[in-house]
Amino acid sequence: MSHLNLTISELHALYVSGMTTPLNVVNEVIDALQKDKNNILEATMFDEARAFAATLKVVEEDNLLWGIPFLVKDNFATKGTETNGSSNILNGYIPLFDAEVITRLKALKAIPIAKTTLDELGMGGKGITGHKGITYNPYGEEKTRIVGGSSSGSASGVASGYVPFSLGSDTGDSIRKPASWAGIVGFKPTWGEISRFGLYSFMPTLDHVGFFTRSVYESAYLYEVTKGFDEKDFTTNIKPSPSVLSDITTPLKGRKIAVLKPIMDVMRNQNLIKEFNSLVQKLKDQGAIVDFVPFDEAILAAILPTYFMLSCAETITCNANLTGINFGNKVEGNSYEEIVLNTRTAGFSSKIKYRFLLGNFVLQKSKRNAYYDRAQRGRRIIVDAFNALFETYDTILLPAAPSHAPRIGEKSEPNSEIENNYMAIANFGGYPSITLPLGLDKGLPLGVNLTSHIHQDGKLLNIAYQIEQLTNLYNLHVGQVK
Amino acid sequence: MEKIDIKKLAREILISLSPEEEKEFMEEFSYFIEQFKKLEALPHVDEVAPMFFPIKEERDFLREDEPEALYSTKEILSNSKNMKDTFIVIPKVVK
Amino acid sequence: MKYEVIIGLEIHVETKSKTKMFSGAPTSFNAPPNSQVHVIDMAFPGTLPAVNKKAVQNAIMLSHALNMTIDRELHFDRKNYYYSDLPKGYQITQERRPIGKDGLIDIVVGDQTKSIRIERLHMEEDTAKQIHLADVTLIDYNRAGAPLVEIVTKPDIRSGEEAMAFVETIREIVTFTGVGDGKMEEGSLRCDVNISLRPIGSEKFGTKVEIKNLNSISNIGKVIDIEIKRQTAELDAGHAIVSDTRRYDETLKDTVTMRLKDNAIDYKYFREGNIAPITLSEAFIADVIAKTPELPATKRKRYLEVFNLSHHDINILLQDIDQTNYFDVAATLTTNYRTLINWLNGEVSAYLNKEGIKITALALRPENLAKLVNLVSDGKLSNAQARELFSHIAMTNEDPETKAKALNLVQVSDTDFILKVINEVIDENLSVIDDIKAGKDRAMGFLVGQVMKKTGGKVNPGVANTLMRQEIAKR
Repeated sequence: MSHLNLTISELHALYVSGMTTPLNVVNEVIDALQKDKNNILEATMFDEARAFAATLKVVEEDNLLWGIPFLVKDNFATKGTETNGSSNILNGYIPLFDAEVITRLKALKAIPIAKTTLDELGMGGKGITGHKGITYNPYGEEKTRIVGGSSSGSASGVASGYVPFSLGSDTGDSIRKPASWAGIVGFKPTWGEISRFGLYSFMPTLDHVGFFTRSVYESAYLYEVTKGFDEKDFTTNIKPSPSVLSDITTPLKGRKIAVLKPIMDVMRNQNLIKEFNSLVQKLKDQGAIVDFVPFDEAILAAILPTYFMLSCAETITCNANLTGINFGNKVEGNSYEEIVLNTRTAGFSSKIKYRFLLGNFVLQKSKRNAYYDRAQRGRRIIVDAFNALFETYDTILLPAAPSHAPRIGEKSEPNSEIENNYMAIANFGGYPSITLPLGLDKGLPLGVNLTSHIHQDGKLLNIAYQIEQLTNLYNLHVGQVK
Repeated sequence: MEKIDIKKLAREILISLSPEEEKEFMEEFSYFIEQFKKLEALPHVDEVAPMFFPIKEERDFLREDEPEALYSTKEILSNSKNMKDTFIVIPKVVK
Repeated sequence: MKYEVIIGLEIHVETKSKTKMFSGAPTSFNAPPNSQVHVIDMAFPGTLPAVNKKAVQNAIMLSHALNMTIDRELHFDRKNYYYSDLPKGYQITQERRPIGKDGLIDIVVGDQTKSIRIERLHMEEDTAKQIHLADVTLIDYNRAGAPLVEIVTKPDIRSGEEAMAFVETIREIVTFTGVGDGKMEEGSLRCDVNISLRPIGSEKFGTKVEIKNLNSISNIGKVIDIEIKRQTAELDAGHAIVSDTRRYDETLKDTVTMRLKDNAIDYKYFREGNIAPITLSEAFIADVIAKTPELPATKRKRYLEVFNLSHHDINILLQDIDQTNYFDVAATLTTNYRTLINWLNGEVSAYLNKEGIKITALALRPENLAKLVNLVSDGKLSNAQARELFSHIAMTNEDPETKAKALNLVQVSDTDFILKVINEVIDENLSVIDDIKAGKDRAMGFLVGQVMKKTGGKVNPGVANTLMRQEIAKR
């Protein structure tokens, strides 16, 4: 029996019944990963995974994560295993410590099995800028479509069914967009709920740790067992948040759901529109209230530029430690400045340099009030507008992307910034947000996204869970579709 | 059209661009400067208070002043190509 | 002089705690290179700052001692620049919301007291240490991330003397609160001077010059005077002052340019997103204030008003916190404060210098020094006898009274006996008596000296003098 394409719960059931062992499963996963054609892997942890799996002999029945293998986006530090953020500047860099979320997962006996590719240092939305090149979507014809980013390898790997879950990070939509194009669940909780210690910073107040799974319940479970205050991260919420599992099956009746009309109005994919409207009807049939609401279009248009100004500026300092002096892929030079200049020029791709330049531009003394500082004020205006909406509505429901995964090299539609980038609001406001499969469009996944107010992770996951019951797209993976 | 001194800005953050990169960057720059203008349409955008943190929680946690276990000198320097004995060594820095 | 001197100071203080500002690495002195380095100090990707409670308490204590308003929230910012001693490529500091603001402290220059306003006090972290050899620079990250406090004054200082008095006052407060060692020569207290001149009567500030790397308080005064001369000469000759950063050159005995003023560098400060604002409760702040040791200003006031000591003596005592603490203990057991302070500043200090030890190594406990002082004040010991007694008990801490008896160091106060000896001396020196009667008073010393010789120094010289005059008058 193949142990791939199983959810966490399904694999757990096999362990409990003694039908298989972690070592068995790990070996099978390793086999499959070695045959992967979608360029999803950075450093592998195969020996460590086998060794760890071999020690797991007594099943922990109440611990869903016992013996479950998972993939790790390569911007999470893993002790003893190279973590280069898919950037040449960190080739050969081996962390001395594990990221906190990995420590917590390992404590629960989950097995990290390999690092996955990403858009370089977390910057990018297509999954094509990592130093190993394009990471492919397993859907569609082989190696023809992108999977999105920046958590490209983690999304692709879970969509391929190799592992039941993977770790991702989300600064603008880096979990929730690829989840849409890969037909899986991608969840980003409220900011400060999961420790970012060990996650390579891109922009701290937008960065989030999150998960890819093939069921909503399992994203909720992973969140439940890894969330909570960490002394090492001075942005983790001190007050413990309530359980999200206890009420996850609450019926939809009375739930108030908002759909932003201006965004729906610019959708062009007819299948998507049909699937979305069909879902809306099903939600109404279940007793939910679904309103198509107006929303200030100037605010929607400001989302992408606000995101770019803030993140490009702050990412410069988050990566100012990458100099080659006390770690990293140093390039020679005759002086400190030369070493650093040569190392950074060779180590960063052009795209990263462009972001840095843009960021440095908006931070200049003479410019910053009109740019960077204005973007911080813009953030407040945007968040205030959404906070107002959340006073009435439990969640905002929208397509996670305007269409299925694009072909490689396919140009974006002109003026499609709004529908392609609106999910960044969840990063501006720290809101919990989840993408899950909506349907298939000629065999290619479509995703729907929900975003709720801060600390409403339980409510969000509950509504998402009920949507999954309605779409029946539980454990969607490429093997099922092809 | 906004003016930008690419070489100066690049120098400040210790990176350099090839002529091709400079050209490609200028295209991106033009595009983004246009995008950035969209903030001008936001109501009271230059009057409201900036937002730094998305969550406002009253917190008082501070780390206790107790030494933690450390990695050895060898381990802590192991990722550097400039390690020599117990130091990081670089060409002499002229103040 | 036709120019007014405007000086502002920036003082960096290394504060004392077991661990660094943002990491749990120890801050021990003189550890082997790169042995006190946390992954956070190395700025490895993914590491995050963890704010040290003790460093915050130190900053609060110092802010309070400087009469500053203490911000009820902690906010941090990034100061961005690239340098080989700065692993993150930025320093975490408090640009926008310093923990302390709008302070005021009195300084004493000569017999004048002046108030100096303090603009801000904020926390930041130290850089790595660099050792420059012939061709290479060695980097030691032990110091990277060590807690610092920066104190910035308003430009209220008007001379080198005032500057020195201010830095000394800060040093005193730093050492007396226990917040730091305050040793300029060791780098635990660093001072940068910002100085400009403007024609007297002018409202507009002149061009500011920054002077760095001053390594002693006396150098601060010296270098300021030299810089005033330099700027005066430039202005008199009609040249504009260049805004730059200078240092003092020993050989040239002048200030020289280090680099053009750092105003040229745009640090692009913005909020540190890895530290969410921290609330400092009233209780937390009150607790720190309650635990603050007595401040030098308070001690000074007490010494002046209650103990009636002189500024001069107090200044000498307060230079050493251990001696001050010693004095305070001894002062609970004697009311002869003047004598006590003279002993500490005089005989005891001389002894310590000679032996090359600090007062903390002196075996003689303050209680016993107090006893010795009381013996002198009560007339039971002459000064000479007391000095001899001290030399015996300094390193044994024996009871002074017991030891004095054992050494037969007892001052004779028996008036009959003294009169007998005095008259003997007079009889032996009748010619001298005539001189004294003729007004040549100097010979009194000789006569009293003879009394001391005959009694082996056991007579109180003051008493002998008085009685001597009395007897001479009778003759």
